[in-house]
Amino acid sequence: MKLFPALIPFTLFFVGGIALTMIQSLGMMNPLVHYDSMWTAYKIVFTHAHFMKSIVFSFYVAFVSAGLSIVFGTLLSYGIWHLPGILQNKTVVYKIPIVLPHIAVAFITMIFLSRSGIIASVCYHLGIISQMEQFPNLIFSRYGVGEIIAYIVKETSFVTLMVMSVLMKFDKRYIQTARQLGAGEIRIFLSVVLPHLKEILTTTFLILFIYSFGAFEIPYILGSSTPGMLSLQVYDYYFRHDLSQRPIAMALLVILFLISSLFTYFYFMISNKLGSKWDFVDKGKV
Amino acid sequence: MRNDKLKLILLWLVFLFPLLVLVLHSFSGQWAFPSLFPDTMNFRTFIYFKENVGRIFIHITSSFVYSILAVILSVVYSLLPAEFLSRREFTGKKIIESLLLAPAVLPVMTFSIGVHVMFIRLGLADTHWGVALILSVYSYPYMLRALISGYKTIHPDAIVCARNLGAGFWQILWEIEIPMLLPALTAGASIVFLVAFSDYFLVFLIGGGSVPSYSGYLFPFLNSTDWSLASGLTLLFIIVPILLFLVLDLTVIRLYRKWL
Repeated sequence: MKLFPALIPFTLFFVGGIALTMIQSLGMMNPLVHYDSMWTAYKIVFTHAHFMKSIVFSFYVAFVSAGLSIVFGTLLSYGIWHLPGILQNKTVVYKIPIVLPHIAVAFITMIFLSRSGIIASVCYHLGIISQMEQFPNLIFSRYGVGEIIAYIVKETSFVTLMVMSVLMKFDKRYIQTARQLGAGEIRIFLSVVLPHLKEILTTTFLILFIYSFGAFEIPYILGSSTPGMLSLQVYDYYFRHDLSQRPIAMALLVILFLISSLFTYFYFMISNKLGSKWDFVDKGKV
Repeated sequence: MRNDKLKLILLWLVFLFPLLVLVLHSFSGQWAFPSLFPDTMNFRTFIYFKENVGRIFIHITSSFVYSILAVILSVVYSLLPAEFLSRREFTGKKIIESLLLAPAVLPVMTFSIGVHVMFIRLGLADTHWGVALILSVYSYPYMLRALISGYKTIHPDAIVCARNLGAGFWQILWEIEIPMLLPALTAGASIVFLVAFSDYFLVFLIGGGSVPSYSGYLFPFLNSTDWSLASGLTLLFIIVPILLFLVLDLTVIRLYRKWL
């Protein structure tokens, strides 16, 4: 069968990797684990508050960063779309963050946001703060400010790219008609343009949410360890604790997998309904 | 119109500003709070580049090697399935397509740590092949997606025609499909390469430090306090993929024009 070549990575490594994770979360394949029950690792995860906090924190960071990226990206693309055609062709610069590696974005965020960074210095010169310590600790903050801003920097351009692909096909005469009928600019955006963007915004939001929910690089550079995102907890339990604690890392991964699968299911449901519009190919650049 | 031009200039400033800051940082000797510009400037970063050119070269080359391997693997995985999925209609096709694309959507951690355990037993951990394999598992869906849309641009009659004229499987592949798939292959390859080259976590997990990578080389600098070296090395990290794209774009587009 012609599908066979793709089944090698899919079945062997993707499904196989997930299966091995599940098996190990039950305490199997591990000589140092002697649990009374298969579900001990899960019991530990669900009865310790810091794991639950981590899950909630990951939700919060992913939700806020994806949501704000959607807002900024939509506004940016709407602005670009309003430019006359000749100028529109000169806006490629907005795509820069799409090709930037995540660790580079994290570093740039650090240069700007840290206490000795650019924004702190500008605040000093504006007289807002008089010494470094007065600047809030945005990197490694409990509220995930550094992580959220890094994701917004990275993802806003991706949203812009996605929304532009829909806006390019949008007939500008709709807007002229609405204007003639007396609609204001905000009204036009909300009730004429936005309904057309509903699907692309939903699918893009889901992609960004799933990514930020489980990604490692940005939290590793910018995140605090308490509560810390789920991926950091997994890293901690997989690499820094001894082998007997490994089922906990695996149980956390299974939870990560189940939650992201649910959102992935929604993503495919909506994008399949859209027909063959699979714009997510470009997601790799995010 | 003037207003629009201002907006455009503002857009360029906002998006280029972070890169300008990186350039400024790589030339700075000392740049302490609260100075808005570097206190002293020097060429320390360049001296460092010069002294470590061998090590930097090895790490970039190694990243190149496993990224190219990942691209080749993704083509191998995707070529036939893309043809199949683009030409046939059958029940459950959407489900199969979605499943095959899922590895690019789900967080890499969910399967890669399990694969790490598998690779340790198979002896693939800490090897270039292991790194290329894990990167291809995560990135082949981009190639698959690109090739499915690529195949849709080839009219089935063209293939039937070639077959009637006596062309075999390989001849059709080499002389008809590959040339016509070139734009799709380039698009897919660019994304797979970029994803592989930029990755830090998977290379760190499977490569375990014995497979040199530029992202792994850069990483300790990002966490250090030496922001000028980190900025210079980050700029180099960004320049490599951009250069590759420019070269690829120019050559492939030219070849493609020649062929058609």
